[in-house]
Amino acid sequence: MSFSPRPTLISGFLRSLRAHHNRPALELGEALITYEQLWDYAGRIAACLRERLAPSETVVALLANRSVGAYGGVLGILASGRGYVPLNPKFPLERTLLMLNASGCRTLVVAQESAGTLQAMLPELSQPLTIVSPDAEWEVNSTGFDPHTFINAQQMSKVADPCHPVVDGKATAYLLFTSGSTGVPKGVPVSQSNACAYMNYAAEHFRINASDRCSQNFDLTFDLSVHDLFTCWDAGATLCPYSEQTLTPATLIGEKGITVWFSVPSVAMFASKLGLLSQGAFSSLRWSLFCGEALSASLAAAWQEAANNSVLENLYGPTEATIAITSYRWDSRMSAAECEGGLVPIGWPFTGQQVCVVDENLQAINPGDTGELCLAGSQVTAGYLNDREKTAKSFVRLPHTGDEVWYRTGDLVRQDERGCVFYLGRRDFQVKVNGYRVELQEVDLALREASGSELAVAIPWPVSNGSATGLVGVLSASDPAGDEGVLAACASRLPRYMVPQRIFHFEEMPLNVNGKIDRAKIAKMIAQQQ
Amino acid sequence: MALEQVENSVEQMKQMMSYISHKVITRKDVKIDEDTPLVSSGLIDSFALVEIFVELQAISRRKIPASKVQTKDMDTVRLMFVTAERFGKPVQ
Repeated sequence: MSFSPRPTLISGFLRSLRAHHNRPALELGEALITYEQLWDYAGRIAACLRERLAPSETVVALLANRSVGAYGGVLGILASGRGYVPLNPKFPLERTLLMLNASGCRTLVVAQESAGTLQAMLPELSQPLTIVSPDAEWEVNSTGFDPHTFINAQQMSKVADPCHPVVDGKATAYLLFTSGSTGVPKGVPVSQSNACAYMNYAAEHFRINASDRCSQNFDLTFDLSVHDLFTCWDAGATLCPYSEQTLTPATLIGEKGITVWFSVPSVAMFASKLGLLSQGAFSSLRWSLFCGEALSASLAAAWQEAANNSVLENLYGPTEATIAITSYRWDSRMSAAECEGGLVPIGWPFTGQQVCVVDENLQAINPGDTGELCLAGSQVTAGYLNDREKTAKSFVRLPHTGDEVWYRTGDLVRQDERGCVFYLGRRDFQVKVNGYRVELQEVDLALREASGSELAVAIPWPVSNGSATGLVGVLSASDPAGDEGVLAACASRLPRYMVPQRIFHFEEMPLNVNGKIDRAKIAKMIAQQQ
Repeated sequence: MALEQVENSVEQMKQMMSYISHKVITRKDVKIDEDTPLVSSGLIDSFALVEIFVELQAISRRKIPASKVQTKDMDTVRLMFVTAERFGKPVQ
């Protein structure tokens, strides 16, 4: 079996549409949606956008969640030759508006399940938008919102031809926002060529086929969802999103006969807590893939026992390097001995991608020494949206590697003589909370503004197996009576996973040798209070 | 239901409310009772719900198959114990 390179992210889906039009592309609860049916939905969006949008509109926002509208929306926008900007209807309105404004989108595709969020958004929109609502059973209440243009399902009867969109490799395939240390989410445009570089590697490496049934655990706002959707549809396989009514996604493995699993390790940890990781419990799996946060050796071993027929890989990659860029394959006989600090290595770069470990002066360091991981290659994006300063700081040239642009990850690693990379921690204040990337400074800022205190910090807590499951806020010598207001103010602007669960008060904030607040010491003080 | 069972059930619900108030929500401004919506109101998220489910098994002394339970079955403390009764098997 050979895999031909794809010109755009949607090319694999369009190929599968021709080859497997009657096979299920999507299994939503009990409902099976074939490739043809999904295209009927997506093709109407594509036709509408192709007809109505100016060529200068290169990205289109999508407000939808785990529905035909969400998946068809992604496909429709891509098929129109534009990039998609996923917005989460569950995020605070303030954040969603920030993302929408920053993206520059003038068109928003909305699915029915996001009706409430849209109605709340409409009065707050500062620019006129074209709002496309493709769901036939629903019409947006547009009364009083004259500056905007509304296009409903009745005006979208034409289905586009499923032809490959003509787009430049540098065009944006999707635009995602990550937590930003200044309080404003950072936009990361991922180009068609970045996305296709990943997809070409994934097709060769994972060899997913039309009989596979692939998990879909990640929100569309999380770039790992791009792997879920497009490695599956590239192969003509069936995507099985978990319902948010499910207690934990891992229960779907047995129920739906999932063969390809991809999640953050936290989801595996919850499966372990629920007693689901018994020997052979997940025997249907061919692939067990983890990414998004550190994977502990004990969890990998327990999952491998449950998923005894699967190949388990620990993937690593920031959004800026497109989904994942290194991997380590777990070997039950040897891997436990190779782990460092109880964590599974992040392994070796994908074919065609490069890693380099550097010191503070960006000089490459010797194997075995600790330094910052830098990444280069066709998956590395061009920089942040409309932010030259941050781009210049993070996308750099290394003194010894010519004109190649390297992305500085901020991750501290060690590389052994074989080239295997071991994750050791961060050089800044970025943390993962249940797999979500969080800049602690963004939460600090929300805490400072809400409390009126300059001495306010967020601390990842509790932490187990190297991963945080929550955050707490710490304020200096303030009145606990104001805590509820502080937390409510944080909740109104931050996504839920970034909102501190509670506030601690300390008379004096411990400082480190540089005179900065010592977060490590505060974490110890919190632990002592428990 | 026998009086003893009712008393047990009330006591178990109190234990669960105390666990949720002190270990999960930990906000002084939030008071919960047996019928306070927890998930649908946004007071707890899916990650916390897993912890609560583990605690529910311990308090109710029942092994509950996670695959049978939906988040709506865990929306209030009262519903949690109905779910435990419905799907759980007593642990000796």
